[in-house]
Amino acid sequence: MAEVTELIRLGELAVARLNGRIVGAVRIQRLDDGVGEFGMLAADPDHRGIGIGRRLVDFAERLTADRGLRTMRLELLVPQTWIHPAKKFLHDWYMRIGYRVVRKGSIDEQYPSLAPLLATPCDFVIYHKELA
Amino acid sequence: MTSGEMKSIEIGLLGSDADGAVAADVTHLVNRVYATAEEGCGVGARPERRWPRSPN
Repeated sequence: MAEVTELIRLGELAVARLNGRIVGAVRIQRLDDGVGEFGMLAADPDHRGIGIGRRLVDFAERLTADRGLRTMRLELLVPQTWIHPAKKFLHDWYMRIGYRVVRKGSIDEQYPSLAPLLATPCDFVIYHKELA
Repeated sequence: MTSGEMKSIEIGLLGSDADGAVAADVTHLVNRVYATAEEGCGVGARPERRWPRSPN
């Protein structure tokens, strides 16, 4: 919970509320290179299909554009050797809403201390979308 | 989705007035979503939380 508390303190956490209850969350931040990024996107599984994720991404993109940034970035953590259904779903969804893969990063190379914590070798795929 | 559900979803940044209960609710939600979505991937343990980023 300390991580979330810190994100709230930094003003980087947006939530979706349905009838007052928190049903979604996303972290939105400005990167050093002048690009915005969203991550930790979460929509309550009990309320799938009502547009929570889409509304959160729309909000993140609008906020980022309002800050004068023109590119939104996201990372997707994916297994290297097999297809994870949830990750495939997210990849297809991000492509449908205008994101394009710009490169793939290796955890082994960039975060070697974390690689052993994963149950399976993973890459993180980096997507960009140019904001209107 | 119904128009009623669409309209009733409210999105906003959390401010410094958010209390610990809000942080607990968000933490519970994120843990639940990622534990489900990433079951078998090993990232349900969320080691990526130690990253400088927050991958999806």
